Amino acid sequence: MHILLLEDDPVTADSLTAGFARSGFEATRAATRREAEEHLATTRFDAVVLDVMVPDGSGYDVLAALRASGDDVPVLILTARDRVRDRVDGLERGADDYLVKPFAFAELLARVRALLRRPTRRFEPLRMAGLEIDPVHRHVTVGERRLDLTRVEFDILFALAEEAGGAVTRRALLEKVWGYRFEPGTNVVDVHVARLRRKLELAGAADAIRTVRGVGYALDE
Amino acid sequence: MSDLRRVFARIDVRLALLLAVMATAFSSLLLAGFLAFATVESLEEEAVRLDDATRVLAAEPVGAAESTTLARGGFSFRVRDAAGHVLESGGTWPEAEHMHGRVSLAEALGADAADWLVRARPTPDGGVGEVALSLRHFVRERGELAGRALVVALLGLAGALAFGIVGARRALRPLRETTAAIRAIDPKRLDARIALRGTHDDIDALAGTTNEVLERLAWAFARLSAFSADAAHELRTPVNRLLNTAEVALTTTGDVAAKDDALESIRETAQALGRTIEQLLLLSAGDEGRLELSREPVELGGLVADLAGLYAPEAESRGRTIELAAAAVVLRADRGLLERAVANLLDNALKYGVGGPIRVGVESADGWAAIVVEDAGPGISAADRSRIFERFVRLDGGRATGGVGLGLSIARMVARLHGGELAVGSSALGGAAFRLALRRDVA
Repeated sequence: MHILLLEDDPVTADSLTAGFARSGFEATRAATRREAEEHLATTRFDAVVLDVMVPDGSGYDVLAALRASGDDVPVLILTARDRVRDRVDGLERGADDYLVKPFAFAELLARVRALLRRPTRRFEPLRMAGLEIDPVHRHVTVGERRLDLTRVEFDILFALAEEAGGAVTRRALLEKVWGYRFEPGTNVVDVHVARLRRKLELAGAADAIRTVRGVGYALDE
Repeated sequence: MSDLRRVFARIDVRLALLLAVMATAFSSLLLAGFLAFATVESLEEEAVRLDDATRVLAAEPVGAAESTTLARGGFSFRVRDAAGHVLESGGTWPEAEHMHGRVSLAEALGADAADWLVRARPTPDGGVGEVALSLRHFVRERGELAGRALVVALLGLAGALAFGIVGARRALRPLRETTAAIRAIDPKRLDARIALRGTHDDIDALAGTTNEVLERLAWAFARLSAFSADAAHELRTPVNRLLNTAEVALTTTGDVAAKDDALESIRETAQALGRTIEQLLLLSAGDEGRLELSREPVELGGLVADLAGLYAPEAESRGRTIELAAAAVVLRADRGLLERAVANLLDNALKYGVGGPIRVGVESADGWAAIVVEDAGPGISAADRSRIFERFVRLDGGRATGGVGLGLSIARMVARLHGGELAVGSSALGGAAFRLALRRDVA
């Protein structure tokens, strides 16, 4: 199995390449967007791992070019930003999976193996609390009904879904959904969650989001 | 005398020293000139005596040996005929190398006791009468004159030295007084000031500057101690609440729900306390210059629109709307700090701008951009406008609105860290208008 790894930090790239080699994969390294595109033009890879931030552009550019040319090789995005929006953007642009830095190599290996096994190789919608959450199309469905959610509402739901039953604090939501690292003096986050809840209630999923007393919110599996 | 002293005291130190140096140099020159003049004068007097004697000898060359004029005057003489034979002579005739004819400064200063001054005149019978005067007497006189001048010079030098020492001590006395006054400063006595002499010189300037520094230090110290007192007060209230709630919960037996309520209340209070401490740490980091800005290109219109989006549902739930009038302006700024500052302004507008809309805008001009947050509340009176940016100041006085009064201090600090300013004025909406101006020069 041959993997292309786009990663500009040499230390990270070294350890990932060594890890792949130990696990029986052949990994070709690229440190810039141009290098990655040159490799992709000449070699057929079984999977591609892309870092979002590289000196001469973005991993998303490589992904976009790849999909535009009709190549459906499985792509996993490595993102340093912990915002839901950044991850969902990657999936919308045709990535098959993502991983937030920092991560354990075992996690990356498991994700890549899953991508290689999966016949459709697209990100599977998350199913929990009676909801189906599809980040690739930003769709949320309850039974047969599709919810009409704003981007912020979708991101809140997705951030909760990612924790799979675990509680997410208001502060963490503020950071994951909006990218803010401060605590506002008013309960602005609660009002957004209340709106999302109202929409879920109308669709018949009133109890999907659970309030974890004194902590925040959770979406049960 | 006291008038003179006052005049002396008013003279600038530099001018006084310059005058002293000039006076010393001038009097030295004067003394040297007088010495030279007196010496030449004395030699000229000798020459006049010699001329007279020579005239007498030339008029009556015969029997000159008996002439009392020549003998009493201590002259040596000789009379020669046309062929050069010595007819008469008296005294010791000097060697040729010790003879001087001219009277000049060089001769006057260079002559020694062995030298002679010589004159010659033709006699009626075609011969020549010559008279020589030993300069021994002149040299002795010259020596006495030089000795007296040396005494005068030494006295003058001693006087100048004494004047210099006294003058310097006098001139530096205000400096010593200032030094002593500065040494006496300690944090408990920052109200002490150094008295100015009103001389407008360097030392007064130093005293004035020191007073200004003291003024600023006193202000900063007063502010700091007020800040510590306020901080302690603000922290004591929630800590007391924590203690009370915990004690009540401990004495409650069996009622699990009541204990849960107490724990929940404790958690909320602790969270608010944590937020206050975090704000205080941020402010102190800013005060000490430890806050490093991580500047990146930030689009203000988007930043403001995102924050307005965050606050919109909360505003609506209070029956308010947020109007957006934001132009797209890009500048280099610390995104996180700027977001926090604008969020603080929105928090305030929500809490205090009761009823009516909130308007958020971005304006830009040459080299400047400003984020403006306006509300339709009661506004801020002119008297309160300088006060509201101080720490722990809440105009409502109570805690009905939550928060401890650090939001505006932080917003202003963020503005200033970016080379800008946060100011408050009146809004067309009827309430307050907060204007966070930022420099664009590093766009």
